[in-house]
Amino acid sequence: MNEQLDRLIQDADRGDVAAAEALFTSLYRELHELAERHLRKSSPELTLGTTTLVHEAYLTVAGRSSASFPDRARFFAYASRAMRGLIIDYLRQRRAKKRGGEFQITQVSDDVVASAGPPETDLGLLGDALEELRALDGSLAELVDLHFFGGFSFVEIAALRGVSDRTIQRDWRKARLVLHRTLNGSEVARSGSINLESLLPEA
Amino acid sequence: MTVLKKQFWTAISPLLDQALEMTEPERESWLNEMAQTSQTLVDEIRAILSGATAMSRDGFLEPSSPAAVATTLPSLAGQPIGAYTLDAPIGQGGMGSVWRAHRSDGRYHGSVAIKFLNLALIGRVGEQRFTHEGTALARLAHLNIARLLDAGVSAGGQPYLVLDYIEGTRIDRYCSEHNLGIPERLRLFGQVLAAVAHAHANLVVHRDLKPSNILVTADGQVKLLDFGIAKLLASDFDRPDLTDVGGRALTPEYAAPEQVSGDPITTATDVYSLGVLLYVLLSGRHPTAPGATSTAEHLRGILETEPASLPLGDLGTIVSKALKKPPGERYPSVTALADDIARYQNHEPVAARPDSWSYRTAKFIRRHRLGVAVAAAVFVLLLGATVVTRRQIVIAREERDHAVYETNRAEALREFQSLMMSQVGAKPTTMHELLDKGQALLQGQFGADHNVLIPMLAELGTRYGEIGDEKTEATLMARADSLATADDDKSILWALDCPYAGKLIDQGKLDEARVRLDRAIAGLRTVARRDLRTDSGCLLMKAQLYEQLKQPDSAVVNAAAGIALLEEAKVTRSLQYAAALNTYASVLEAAGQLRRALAVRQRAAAGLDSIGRGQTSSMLAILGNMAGTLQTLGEIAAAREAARKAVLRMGGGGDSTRIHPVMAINMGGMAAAGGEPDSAAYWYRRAAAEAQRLGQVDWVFIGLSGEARALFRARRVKEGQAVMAEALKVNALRPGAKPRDTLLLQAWAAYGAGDHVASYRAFRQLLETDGYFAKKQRTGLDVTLTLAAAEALASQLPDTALRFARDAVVMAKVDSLAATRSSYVGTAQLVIARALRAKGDVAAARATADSALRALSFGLGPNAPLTKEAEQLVRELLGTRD
Repeated sequence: MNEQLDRLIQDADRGDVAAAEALFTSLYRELHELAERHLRKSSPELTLGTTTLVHEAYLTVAGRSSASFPDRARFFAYASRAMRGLIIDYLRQRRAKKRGGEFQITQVSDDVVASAGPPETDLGLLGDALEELRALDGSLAELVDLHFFGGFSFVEIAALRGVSDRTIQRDWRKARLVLHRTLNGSEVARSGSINLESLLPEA
Repeated sequence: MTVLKKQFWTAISPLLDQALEMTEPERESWLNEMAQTSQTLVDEIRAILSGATAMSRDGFLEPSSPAAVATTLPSLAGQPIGAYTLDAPIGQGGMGSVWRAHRSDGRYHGSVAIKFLNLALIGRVGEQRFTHEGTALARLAHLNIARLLDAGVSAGGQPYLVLDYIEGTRIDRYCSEHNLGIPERLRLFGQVLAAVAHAHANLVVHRDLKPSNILVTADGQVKLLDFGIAKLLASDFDRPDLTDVGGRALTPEYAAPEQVSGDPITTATDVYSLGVLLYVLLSGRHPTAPGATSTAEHLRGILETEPASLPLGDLGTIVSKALKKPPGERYPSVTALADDIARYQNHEPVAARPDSWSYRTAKFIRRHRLGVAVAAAVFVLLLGATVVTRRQIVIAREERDHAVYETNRAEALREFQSLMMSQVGAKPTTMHELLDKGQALLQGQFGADHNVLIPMLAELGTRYGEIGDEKTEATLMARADSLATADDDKSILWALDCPYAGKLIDQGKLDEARVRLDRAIAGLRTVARRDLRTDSGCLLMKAQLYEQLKQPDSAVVNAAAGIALLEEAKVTRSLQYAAALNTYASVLEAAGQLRRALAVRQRAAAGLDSIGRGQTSSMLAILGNMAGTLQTLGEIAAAREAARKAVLRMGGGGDSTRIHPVMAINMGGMAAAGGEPDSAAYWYRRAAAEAQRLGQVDWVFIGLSGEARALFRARRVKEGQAVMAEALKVNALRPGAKPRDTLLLQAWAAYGAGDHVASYRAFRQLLETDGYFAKKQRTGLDVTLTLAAAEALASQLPDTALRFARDAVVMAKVDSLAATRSSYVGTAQLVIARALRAKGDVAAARATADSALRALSFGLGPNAPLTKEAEQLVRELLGTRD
């Protein structure tokens, strides 16, 4: 499982779509099982941190093999992306079912008091916008997954990426601005009066 | 949805980065300027930036906007918890969530706050800390502290606390919203002081005093909240530091220096935080990091920045005193601070005094020390990230999941280690300082958790050893050992035995080391879940022991077995494997298998490069050793190349760069072998100096004696004698001092003085000591033989010279990659050629001189002085008739 995962991460990093697909399916299943297990063990009023789930998934995967395991930073990035899928799916289901026995997913992180997102209906759209952002700038999209869905703090992400947390904070603002613009559009863009191609600097 | 095009993004992304780093006015003029070249681009940037206002208004992707919580997440509203019914979430923090609730039976109409422990924290530590807040609060009954009303565990097993529900405004906002003057602000602050003093009187230190934990109600009453990380004094010594184990980072803006550095927390910690709060309330500015945006800046400020004193006369002095970096220089208690403020309010002279001259001087030094600490403070945070994982480990252990625990402890150690390692390439000097800080940090973070503390101490110790500070290594190892012994935790003790044995071997305590190793190897076999890596470490250590015991064959067998275990465990892409190969190679070398040793070292170096660890101290050690092996093989030119690479990886070979003594010794040896005694003297001197700094007496001696030899060889006799006297003094201090070393120096002294007969006799005596004449020793004597031969020749004993030199060639050939390229073969041949010429056999001399020239050109390089000598001899012999 582990070597496989390691390879999948490498392949997905190289842009192998099938590998990425397999990776997400695998991580999604992992996270889902963990969440379900917590759900079975505990009461309906369960509050589950996404960081907890992601960390736990990591421990589970890492614990399965005695030798080396996948690059932690990459693992968390992909797991946070899978977490996003899980959260969005869960919210959709919950809307559909509206019954008891559900678990609640919140973000918990060390230095950010975190537990909110845009209104529920927007989460799906946010997911789409994030995929657009990924095409534009993979690292920014990954940051949103890690922080917003994975619940990792800026300090942790900075450590994972080996950059300063100041850089992460700036990137976070940047990512929010771009996503916000993607979701809300702008007067200019909505009017369709501008061809973005023509905005390229005269090179 | 508006979608930006990829190529457009490439242009805009770096500009956005720039824009986000600017202040509003800067950005305006920057954009205006750019608009002159590309209006459209600027329009797009403005459009993106224009979202900022709406974004923060809506709390887009923003953590902690309660409205969003209520709408987004499945609500627990209406759920009964004990005697209460939940109404709405009011907050979310590291410890869990907080809800507003009311009594279900309506007996009490007001609201309460119910605090849940986050599920992730359920387990020993989390619950302990949670009950802890309950215990802390239960002790307190004060008008200005939110009361604990009830506590319990929900049907689902989730612990909760019921607290006063406080409707209020953060103290700093309250002050600015109400436009309060200094006297009013001081009166509010007085209530805070009263609350904290009450807590202190009950032996509770809050430790997280900050505006968001201090609310002011509509009627102007201060309420202190959140004793989640409060520390109980006195009774607290026997438990882990809950704040840190809980994985919660301190609040950087209000943390005291001792919280950052991991020093003990006392009531003075709260005095500092209160000083920060008062500073902020009075000036609207942060004392140590005004305008800081990152945690790192805050930490740097806490440790380094002396706050600008407030221009408020005595009040400014009071604040400064509360903000002193050393806890001992602050007000001894909150009451003392409150008293001084009261004196100020009553216009009496205050107790605080402005900085004295001596304090300023002392500060200068401290600041220098702390300048170093900052890199480490950032490192605290990085380590903090590890701690989060560690907390999971604690939980995992609770669930008896031993495997996960073990794997992750190893992971934490590795992370700690690689973090430190990663620093070495760029700046070796900070490595030591980082380790120092790591050590302090270890105390703070894991001081009470021996499961982590002990292996980390050993780990840190090893790192110190790697950078040459074997003294500290020994100290840390001994500490880890005494802790493990006191705990009587066998598995930790056994795991520690092996690295500790390494230390004992270094100290020459071979018997003790053997006892340890045997105990560990036998003990580890009985452990249910064997860790092959630990077992491998023990075998390799045993190999080193055998090497010291002069049983090279047993050493090779043990080392090979250790390597095999690592291969079995499939950890070949690791630092540990590279280090193991390094040991294996050294053992092979001691067994005289130089060529295999070289191949193993090359494999180790290639392995490190392939896993991206080419800049680590392990790599330096391997390259340094490779240079040593090549040197022994007579491949001086290649050895120098390897050494040069190693020195370059260390950050350059300038005089001021720190260099490992062993590396400098090798450099000296290579220069000497190449016939460059002045350069050799330089490197040996540096080796001695570096070794002195590290307190390594063996290396000091090797450095000094090398320098003396080089000086004699350069005919700098007087200097040589001075250094030699020093070397002999040091030799007397060494536990392993050998008469041979003295003899060698005397031989060289005679050589330097030009007394060939005396030096010939001395070298001959050395050969005697080494067992040459008794035919006990048949390898490794080529250098001594060559020297004896050269001095015999100079003493008009050409036949003796020939005999020694020919034996030298035989021995040097054994220890070479190829005879035709060994500098030692070449040097001995050079002596033979001279001896043959002296005997009048010009043809034979010519042939041998040709061989010598060829071997030296390869082994030393074409421009080495000895190669030039050989060239000269060949030329002379060409001009001589047979």
